[in-house]
Amino acid sequence: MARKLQADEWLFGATVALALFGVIMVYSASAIVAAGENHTQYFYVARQGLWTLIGLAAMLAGMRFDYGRLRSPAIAYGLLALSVVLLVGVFAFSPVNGARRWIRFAGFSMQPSEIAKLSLAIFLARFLERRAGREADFWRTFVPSVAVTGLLALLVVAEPDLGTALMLAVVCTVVLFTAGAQLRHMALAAAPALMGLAGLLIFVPFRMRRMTAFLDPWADPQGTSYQVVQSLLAVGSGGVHGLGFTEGRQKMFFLPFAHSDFIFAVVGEELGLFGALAVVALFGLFLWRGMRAALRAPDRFGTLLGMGIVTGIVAQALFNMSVVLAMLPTKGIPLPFISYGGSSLVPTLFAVGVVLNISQHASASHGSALAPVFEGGSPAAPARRAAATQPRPSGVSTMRSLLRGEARG
Amino acid sequence: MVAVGARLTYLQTSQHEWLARRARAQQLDVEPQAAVRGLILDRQGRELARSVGVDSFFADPREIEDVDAAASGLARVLKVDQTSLAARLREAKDAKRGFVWLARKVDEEQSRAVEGLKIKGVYPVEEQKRRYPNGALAAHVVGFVGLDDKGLAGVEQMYDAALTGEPGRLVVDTDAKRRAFESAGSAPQDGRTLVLTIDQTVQYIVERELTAAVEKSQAKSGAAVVIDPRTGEILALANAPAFDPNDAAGVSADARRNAALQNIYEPGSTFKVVAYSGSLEEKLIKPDDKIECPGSISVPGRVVHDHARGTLTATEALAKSSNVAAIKLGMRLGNERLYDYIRRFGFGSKTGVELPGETAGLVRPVSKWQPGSIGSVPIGQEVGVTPVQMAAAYATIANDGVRVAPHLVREVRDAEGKVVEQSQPESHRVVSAETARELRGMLEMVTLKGTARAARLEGYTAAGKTGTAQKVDPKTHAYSQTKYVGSFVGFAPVENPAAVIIVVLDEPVGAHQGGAVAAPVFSEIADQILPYLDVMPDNAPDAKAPARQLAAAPAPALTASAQAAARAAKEHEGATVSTVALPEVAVSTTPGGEISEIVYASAGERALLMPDLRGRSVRDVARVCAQLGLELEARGEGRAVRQTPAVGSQVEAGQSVRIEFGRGE
Repeated sequence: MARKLQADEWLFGATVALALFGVIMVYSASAIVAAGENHTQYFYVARQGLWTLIGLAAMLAGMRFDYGRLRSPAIAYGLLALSVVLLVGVFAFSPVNGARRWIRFAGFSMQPSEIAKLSLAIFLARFLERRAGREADFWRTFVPSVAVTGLLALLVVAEPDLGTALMLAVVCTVVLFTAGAQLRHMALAAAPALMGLAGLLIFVPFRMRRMTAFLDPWADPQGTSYQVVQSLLAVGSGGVHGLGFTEGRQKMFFLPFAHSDFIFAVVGEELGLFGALAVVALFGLFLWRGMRAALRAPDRFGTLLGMGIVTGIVAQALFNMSVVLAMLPTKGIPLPFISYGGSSLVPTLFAVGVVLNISQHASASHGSALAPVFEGGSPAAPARRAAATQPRPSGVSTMRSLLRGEARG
Repeated sequence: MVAVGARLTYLQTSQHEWLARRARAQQLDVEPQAAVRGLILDRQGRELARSVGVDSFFADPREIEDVDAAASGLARVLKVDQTSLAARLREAKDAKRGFVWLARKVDEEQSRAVEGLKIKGVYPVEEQKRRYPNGALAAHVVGFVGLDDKGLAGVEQMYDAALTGEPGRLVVDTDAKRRAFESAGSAPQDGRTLVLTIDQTVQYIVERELTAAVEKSQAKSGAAVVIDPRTGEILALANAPAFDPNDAAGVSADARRNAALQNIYEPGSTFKVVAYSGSLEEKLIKPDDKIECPGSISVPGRVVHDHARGTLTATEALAKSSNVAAIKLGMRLGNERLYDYIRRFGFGSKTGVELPGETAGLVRPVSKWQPGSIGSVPIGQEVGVTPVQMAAAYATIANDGVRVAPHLVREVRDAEGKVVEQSQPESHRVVSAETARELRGMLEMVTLKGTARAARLEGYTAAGKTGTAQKVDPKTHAYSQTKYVGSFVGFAPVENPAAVIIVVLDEPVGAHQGGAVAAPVFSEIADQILPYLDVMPDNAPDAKAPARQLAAAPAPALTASAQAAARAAKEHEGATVSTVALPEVAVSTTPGGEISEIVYASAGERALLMPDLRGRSVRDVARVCAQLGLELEARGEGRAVRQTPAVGSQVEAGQSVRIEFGRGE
């Protein structure tokens, strides 16, 4: 077809809005910290701006090739292998804040766990597409998916970075569910995972402390609950209207990681309930349009990949906000798009580019927003017809109807 | 997502207030900025109370590197136990506490010594200490403050809010490392200055004479008040024994009690003027009208006896203090009118003098009178008054029948010296000018021919009335045969009175008649203060012979005599011209213990020579300066070390002198 491909404008808009909003908030949250570290107040925001430009370029790049090529074994397994190598590689570097999460070279640093998230989504989408119709096969479909996820998750936990490991598990679960894996299999996998989680909580002392700190933050506001308490104070001070942009006080070294993991607290303090809810709403819009694009993908690979990416990002966002609002114990994971740091932002934006890529095929093949996705296949991607004509993943219909209801509601 | 939204709403609405408050609490440092407590000055601007800055020292033990060395140095300078200080510092250092008091309100010398140690982590803070440079002078008027500088008595208490001022607040925004990055706040509003109507010199004379009289008569206590009848201004208000407000904590509540307006006494004969003025005002009698005084009079229930007998004119009856005459006049007026005049003269109501705890006295309404009350009330029984009330009543007569509310705060100035409040005493007519004039003439006869001949003055005409009342024994509720209150209240000069003086002595031993114990005190006081107040003598100086021995009883520590100076001045310039007398000051304590008297002679009209104050205590120096009218700038504690100007240089009243004190060995 000669028709120009059209990506989902809402998804694109929400992503760019979140990323630009992030630049602004990083400025407000980091200026004091930067000055305190003898940099100019623009030190962090300049870097974040640069990373955002690079990230948006990566996003555009992610939209401009045939996403189907991602399912080639070279890319899928290559990325997976690269992730494993890098995740092992982090142990060659000295820890930062007690964790080995970064690989540094030539003045830049990257977090392999961010690459691992995308790699996992691509691998699972490819693998489950090929296992279409045999989702119920415990040993040959379910176990390999969980095994690969588990391998990456274990490496990430070892950094240690339990939060990102949990995100990997969420991606795996969502993709498996979308693909139509047996719920009892997932329950079977969940049991040891939960036990492992419990073990990690019990045998690693700082996790247990954080756990109890989250349950009663005011018991020890100067000690283990310090971060939670400072975060709550920031959010609570904001009130409905907020103190005003750059007027926040908690970033004056009261709130740790104000420009990274706890940037949402600064949003709440400076922009108030309206600002914070707007951010939540943008993630909501992102989730809706992202899932819509995924479910309308012309093939099973696109659907599963889109679902994996979108839910991975949104789950991380909700996780981060929950930590800030003391609904979950403190875990060091950034707020996607907004928190400072290129090693999270660039891979995330690239991944969104892939989802936008998928969305443009969906809109190209179906004029009507609510037309069935999996019937007929995509004229733009005849090569994927075989995959698309395979039996529809069972989880999809449920979700589609849910989405439809949401769209209509 | 819904949960996140709900949680946000919860935190930012219903939890907002307390979270925000808690956040501000950690983000703000509020540093109170102390306001300096205001001065209390006499009517001529001489200091009666001042707050001085003194240093206190604290340590931040976390910054002290060598605790033992620091403790040994500090212990030597501050004269405290080294071991316990070291233990205190070490304990605080271990607990990572950043604040330990080392010494509060130290003197200049110690302060310099501590600074000289140059110990890291030891810091000074300036605190205030209230000083009463004149010691016990006017203690019952000025009052005193507690440990926290709150006024607990006198005008210190009454004007506590104005004197305290408004402490400033420096609100400092700090970051988590307690570094300030923004501050806002209000500057402290220093306390207001209180200018009293008290004249320090008059007060001093009154206190000295009162104390001497109390000692001489072995009275339990005494009170004296001097009022300018034209303005209602209280020039002096004294109680004996007095106390030193610099050390008020150790003083009994009895000594602190301001008897001049907190105690009521049965006035006796001084109260007779009420019946006389009522009768004159109502034209029931003229001063020369005859009154039959048979020596006793029957009232319902009893017979009142009298020592004055015969047919007396009203003037003679008052001069002889006839009870019968006063009761007859009271009867002519009748209960209602008598009561009305009592109240019009201010008895039974508070005078409104600006001191705490004033009592209204005891005047029962007519409805509660006994049938026999008419035999008591006109002669000053069955009523309770305060010395200030009585002085105010005589001031009314002295001021042509117009009562000006007695008061002792002249004006209130703000810290910049601007007058923010000026006393505007209420005034109203009580009796006609004619009645007042007639009464003055009658009262003068009391001092000339009556019971108060001891109240006559040198060079001035005087008028007044004695009073002797038996005290009611609280156990028997009957008049005591041994306990009396002797009093005299009067004014001078008679035609244009400049001062009303009341002297009340409680339970004098031996001679207890008001004429014997209180009238001489009146004359001692009036003879000294009238020349000082620039009052023209209106009488031949030899009116009263023999001349009394002046300054006969020098106070053991210090004597000052305005009168001696006045006499000296008169000798130079002729007896008819009175001059403002500068008090001579004699300081009689020397470190050697030998009593010596040093007199500082006048160097000119208002100038005098700077005395050598070195080696004297703060209190001594303050007294000398107060008497000479020099404004004292004192720094430090202990004995005077340095003085500017130098000994013998010419100084003028009102000039400020700088004295440094120290505790050198």
